[in-house]
Amino acid sequence: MSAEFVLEAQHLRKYYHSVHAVEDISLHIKPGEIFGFLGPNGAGKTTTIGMILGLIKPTAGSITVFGDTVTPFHNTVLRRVGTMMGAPSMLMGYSARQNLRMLARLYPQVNAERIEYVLKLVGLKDVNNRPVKQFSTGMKQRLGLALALLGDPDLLILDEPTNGMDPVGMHEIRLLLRDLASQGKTVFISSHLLHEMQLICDRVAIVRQGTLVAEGSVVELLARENTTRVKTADPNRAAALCKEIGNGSENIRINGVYVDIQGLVVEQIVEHLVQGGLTPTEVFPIQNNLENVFLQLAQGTTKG
Amino acid sequence: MLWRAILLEKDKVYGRLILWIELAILVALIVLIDVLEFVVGQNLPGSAGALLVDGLTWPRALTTATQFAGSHTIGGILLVIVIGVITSREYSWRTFHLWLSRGVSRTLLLEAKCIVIFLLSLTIVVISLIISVILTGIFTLIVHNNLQIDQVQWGTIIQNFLITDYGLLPYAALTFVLTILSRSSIVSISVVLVLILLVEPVAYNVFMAWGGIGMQIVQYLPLGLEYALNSAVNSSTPSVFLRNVPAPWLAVLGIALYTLIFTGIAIWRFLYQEFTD
Ligand SMILES: Nc1ncnc2c1ncn2[C@@H]1O[C@H](COP(=O)(O)OP(=O)(O)OP(=O)(O)O)[C@@H](O)[C@H]1O
Ligand SMILES: [Mg+2]
Repeated sequence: MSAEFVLEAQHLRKYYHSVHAVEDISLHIKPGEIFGFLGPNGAGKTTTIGMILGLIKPTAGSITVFGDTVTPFHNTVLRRVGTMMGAPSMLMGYSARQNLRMLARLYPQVNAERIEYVLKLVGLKDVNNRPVKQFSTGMKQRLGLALALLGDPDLLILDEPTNGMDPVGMHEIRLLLRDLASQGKTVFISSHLLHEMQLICDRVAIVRQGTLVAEGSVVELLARENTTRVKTADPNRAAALCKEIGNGSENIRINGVYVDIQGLVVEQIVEHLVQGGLTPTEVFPIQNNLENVFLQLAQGTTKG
Repeated sequence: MLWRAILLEKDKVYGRLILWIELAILVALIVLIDVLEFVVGQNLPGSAGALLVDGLTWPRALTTATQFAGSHTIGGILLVIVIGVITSREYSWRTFHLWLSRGVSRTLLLEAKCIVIFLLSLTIVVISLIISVILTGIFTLIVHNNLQIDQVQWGTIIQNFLITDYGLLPYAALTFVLTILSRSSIVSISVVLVLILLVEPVAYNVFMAWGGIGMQIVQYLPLGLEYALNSAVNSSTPSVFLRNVPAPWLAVLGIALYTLIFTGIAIWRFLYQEFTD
């Protein structure tokens, strides 16, 4: 059953005493896809990844990677996985090359050539022998990625890999991940950079307060109803007025000076606002992007 | 996989500057102390000077060649510091994440660490042995014009070497377990150093002199066990408490037990540790 998925998580839960870091997360990652794991700060992304990597013991739930169970006591299958979780994990007192050489001790197939190759891949070819503690955030991130790629893994699990990278770096990473996916590698990537994820992911899951609120292809998620954005003098009152119109299935969200309304017809909205003495100064439809879907789901204004 | 993990640990530890600085300190201190003693011994009139010089020349000097590596001297202190620093770095640099998330099993990783820590203790003892041998060899040539090889007690030298290294192990294991438990080098190093330099010697000497139940207990401290082994091998060891030291086999067993218990706790706690962001 598991063979069809590279990574499968069933009803993961992690409680730290009263803190519910992860409530209920199930994931099914298929071979060769780039899967985005989205959610706001504190949603439980890093905790979930920690459980997948056998670093954190789940309170409940199970994980299989390439069909083999992963727990803190049984993690050998992770040899086929390249990872980067949260803040950089590296030997700060050593150079980038030394870091790669040491990790290479775990991979008999990795030779000096491969080390130079991954350094080039992440754009660190020309760093000399500086210890990595002197690296900038983006450079550490690049080395983290090189460490993840070193063993030529079949599955990459990356926690916010482009954190602190410049736009050129992000673009390079995007190309790199696409390239890896085209070679049949699977990529699981967490982020809150939504436009980024929209550009590279085949499928995404959105998590909020430790629970999955949506999972599907980017196309599917974007195909949800379009939104009408209205600007008025008083967004709060506008939102309240809009709420009077519908039957409760609509989705109304205050977004700065704007109110974003889903599930209502434009004419209805304008008419009702004018009647309520609140003439809109701007009304326009907005194209759905992942960011909107994310905001709606992540902020939890959507029900059902 | 264990072999690869050992190579990794070895690279990490022997690539650290702190280790080489420590070894340099060890060498410098041995040279300094020995040379100073030798100069004083040569200029001291009478039997006191002769005794000092005798202790610094072969064959006598060879039996004490590892003295500076012992658990309650420079070697022990340096070993505790290097283990504390190197192990706690795995937490602060988050490199435990790195190895464990690459499918290295937790027990295997700690096994590799224990083996490399043992190698570290050997390194310290071997280096102090080599330096002492060279230095006292030179002293011997200065005093006697020859090395007096025929008088060397090889068996005693080997036994002392083994006892010195063996005596380091409980403290190495204690530093290791305390670093794993606290994830901090400051906690583990300071606790073990206070124990080595203060609590244990004071408790041992006070209670051994006092006698009674206190003495029955402290003779089984690692210090007491190491003392028992030393006095069994070296007839020249001052025999103040000799009447009341555990038998050698008990001492060997006791030191092994301390080491195994501390290591066991470290592995057991490590198995249940969580590596969060
Ligand atoms: N060791 C811990 N003890 C207690 N609570 C924790 C622990 N680790 C994480 N948490 C809590 O669990 C929740 C999820 O944290 P997590 O780091 O998984 O979020 P995240 O989605 O990765 O956030 P970010 O985008 O900021 O990285 C947070 O509320 C956090 O405070
Ligand atoms: Mg995180």
